[in-house]
Amino acid sequence: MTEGKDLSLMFISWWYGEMLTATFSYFKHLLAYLYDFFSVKICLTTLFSVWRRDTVTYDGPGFNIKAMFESMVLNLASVIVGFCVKLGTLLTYLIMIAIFFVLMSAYIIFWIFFPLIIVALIYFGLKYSLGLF
Amino acid sequence: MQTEITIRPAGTTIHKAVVLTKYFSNFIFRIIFFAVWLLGVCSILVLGSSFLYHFDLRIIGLCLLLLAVFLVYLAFRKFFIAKVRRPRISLSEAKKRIAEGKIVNLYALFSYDFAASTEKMYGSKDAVSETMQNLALAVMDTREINFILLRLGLGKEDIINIITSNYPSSTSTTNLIAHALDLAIIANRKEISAVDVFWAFCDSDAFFQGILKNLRLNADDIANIVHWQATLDDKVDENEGVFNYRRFKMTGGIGRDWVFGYTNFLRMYSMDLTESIREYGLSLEVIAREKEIREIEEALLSQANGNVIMVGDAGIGKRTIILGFVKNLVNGNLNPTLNKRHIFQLDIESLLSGEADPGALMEKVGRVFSETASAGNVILYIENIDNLFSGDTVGKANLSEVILPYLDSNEIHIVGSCDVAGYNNTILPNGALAKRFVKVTVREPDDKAMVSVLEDTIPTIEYQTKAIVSYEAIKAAIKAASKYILNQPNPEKSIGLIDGAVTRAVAARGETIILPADIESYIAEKYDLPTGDVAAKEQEILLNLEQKMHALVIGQAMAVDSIANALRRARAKVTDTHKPIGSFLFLGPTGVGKTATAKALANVYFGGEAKMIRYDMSEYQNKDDIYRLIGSRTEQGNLTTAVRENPFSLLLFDEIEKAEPDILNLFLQILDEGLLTDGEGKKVSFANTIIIATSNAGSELIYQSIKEGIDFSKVSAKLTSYIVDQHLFRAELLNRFSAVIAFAPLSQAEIVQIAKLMIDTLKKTIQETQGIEITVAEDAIAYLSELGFDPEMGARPMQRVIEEKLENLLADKVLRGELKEGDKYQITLEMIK
Repeated sequence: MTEGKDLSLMFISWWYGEMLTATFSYFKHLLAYLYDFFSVKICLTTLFSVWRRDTVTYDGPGFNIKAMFESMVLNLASVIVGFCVKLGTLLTYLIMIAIFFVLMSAYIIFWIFFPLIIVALIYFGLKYSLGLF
Repeated sequence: MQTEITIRPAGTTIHKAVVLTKYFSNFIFRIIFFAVWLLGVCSILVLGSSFLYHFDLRIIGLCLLLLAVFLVYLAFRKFFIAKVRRPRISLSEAKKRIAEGKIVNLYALFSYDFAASTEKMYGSKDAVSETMQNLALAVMDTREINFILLRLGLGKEDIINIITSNYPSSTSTTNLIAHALDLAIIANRKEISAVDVFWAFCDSDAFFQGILKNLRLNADDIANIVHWQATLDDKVDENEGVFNYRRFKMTGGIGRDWVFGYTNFLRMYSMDLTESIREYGLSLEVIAREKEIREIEEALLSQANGNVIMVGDAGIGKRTIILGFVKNLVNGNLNPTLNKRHIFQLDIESLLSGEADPGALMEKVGRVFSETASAGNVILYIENIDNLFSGDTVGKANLSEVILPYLDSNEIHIVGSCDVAGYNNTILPNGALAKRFVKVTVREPDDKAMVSVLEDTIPTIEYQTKAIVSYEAIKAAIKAASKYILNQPNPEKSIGLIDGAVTRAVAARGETIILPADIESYIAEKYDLPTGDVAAKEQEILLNLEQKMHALVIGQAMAVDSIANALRRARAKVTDTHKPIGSFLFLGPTGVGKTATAKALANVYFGGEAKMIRYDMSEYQNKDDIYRLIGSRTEQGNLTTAVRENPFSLLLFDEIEKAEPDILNLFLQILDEGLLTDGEGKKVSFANTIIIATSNAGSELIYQSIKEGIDFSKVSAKLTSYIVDQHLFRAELLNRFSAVIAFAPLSQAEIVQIAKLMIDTLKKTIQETQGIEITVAEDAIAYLSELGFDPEMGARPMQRVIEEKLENLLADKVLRGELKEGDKYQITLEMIK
């Protein structure tokens, strides 16, 4: 069994293969975590539901308009409370996702262009410090 | 196979790693790498703050250069650790290539540590020759092996000396490394480490097997320690790394409760275990209960009947299992459907109290279940759920009718617990109820599983106490816990034992290694047991037991010999069973020394009569008296409690023939298995007791035989069949005793000796309490012997005679002031006649 490739080739395949795959895998899990943390599915599926199943039902005898109206108002209030809280949560989630995509893109770009970034750092470093180029 | 395997460093990546490390490990490079770190961090700080402060362009340029160097350093360091130091192919792939006849260089599969230590041996034959001895020394030269040596309680220097001086000369190491490859594959490892090679040595090399034998271990134990190390390494790996997605826990998020109802009424009668664990219990360790927790999870997810009942003995850890389930829920380790749930423990007593009217009670229970169902995210945990359905504790209310409809609802799930009797008596006969619950049986982990349990627990104990627990100590703890502690379930009792022994050893010696002796001495102290190797004092007692007992018992040599032999067998560990140390049935007429022999044994062996627990079996003549011995749900048993509190004791059952036959059936279990189940369903061990039962049965035969001049040793042999024939005891009971011993009637000479023994005791007491030295004339002793002997009662009247004739006389003299401290006084025949 010979080990074939030299270390530089090994490094390249590791950097752009294994490590990049692992980075994407981490970001995928982070996205899933944010989705779970902000209870996105719950918020979306129950956006217009009452808050914590807190409803009032009129089942009294006869036809009492006032009581029926009161229960309707209370139930509507419960829906509005739920809607506000869930909408607020969804908006926060969207902001976090936007920030996440910006940072993730920056990180991926940095990773892919790492050799060029190093060359650039050295180029500008020599230029500024020693006045070369 | 030899032809397909080579072990050569040249050309392998791992060898490059070894060479590079050697090259960069010198002092100058260490300084350089430190400077790169320091300057790299500084450059980031300067560049970061350049937006706020104006720096000279040359400084910025320098920082950019330093940052470039720092980033390149970090990238290559990571590459070196994660890639260069690891094998390029998997071990199973290597094995496959060997099988296909391809040449495989096993050195390329070595761990970095092991490759570094064997580099000289395999790389340059001139430096170190390739021998098994040098391979063993190379294994000892690694850091990887430290864990195993530590757990074996072996010093590295000691084992290196043993290998250097005693290892037999041999050459080829290839077969051993090939065997290590197989073992590493079994251990699911990614490389062949020094640990695997050590394991291979222990598995196949006679020299190492000899070392293990001295430690009372074998290759399986090494496999266990290897597994232990791998498990700990996995735990460390699991939490390592910045980009480690395993840290994310899917718990349903901040809105998990928003779609579920309030539970205000339910909270009045219950406790939210989910909140308790979330706030206080994340450090809770629940070990070896994964199977039961998984079964509960699967049952709750089932569409058919999502309710569970845990069935197991009292105290076996059912509550611990539910807490483990809740912890998994809080950590997001359960199915996402369950992660949003709350587990409420329903307090049955508070729910059922204060309601005399069955109708009101049913309404209250119905309201609790109704609210639980409408909440939609509640799992109810109910301890002793059988009480809820038995009807005993809730008056006439039939709660099954109220609860059954909810059990079919998908909105409500119940996890109940009860003991085996409760399940069999209440749940199982009620078909409608039983089919709605999935039964999860809770058992104690076996000894093998217990090793893993303790391996998981010990790092926490070690962290707290700074001690190291050896593997042998783990095995000793499991064995001792199973033998001596029967009123607690595993794993709690073994963990408690290790914890206590470690704390005790650390208090005495500071940071230390815990060995089996620490476990044995701890349990000996805690339970007042003579465990471990026979200590010198105990050894002396055992060897001279007959002699010491004869100083207290007159005659009855056969009984004394049988007891002494049984004890010697038990203490020298010739027999290692859970049966009592010895069990004897003493048969013979009244007053021949049966009870005195038992007392003498308690004195000599256990250090005092306080260790003798005595039962007058004439007080246990009714069927109900059985509960006085073993207890019930409402009262403690006087036998089971006494043995649990004094596991190393002598139990004397006087006049056993008078006991109710059902009570005698208890003895079958005690004598056979050494166990008895008390009224609460808990097991009590009699493994460390000596059981002596006495009876007058067969006295007629003894008298008859003596009268006919038959040799007494033959009478003893005949006695058992006589008793069975006369239906005095059942044969299965007699057969379970270690020995049935006949006590011969006392001769006149023995009566005189008994009188002397009693008078000596009196003399000693008077000397100690009054300071008066008394002597009794020989003719007075002879007279007292005659008075104290009764053909039917044996020597029993002797105590009364001595009280009347001697003690009364002495008391009178002392009260009159005729005898004072320091006086000498002789009692003559005339004085007592």
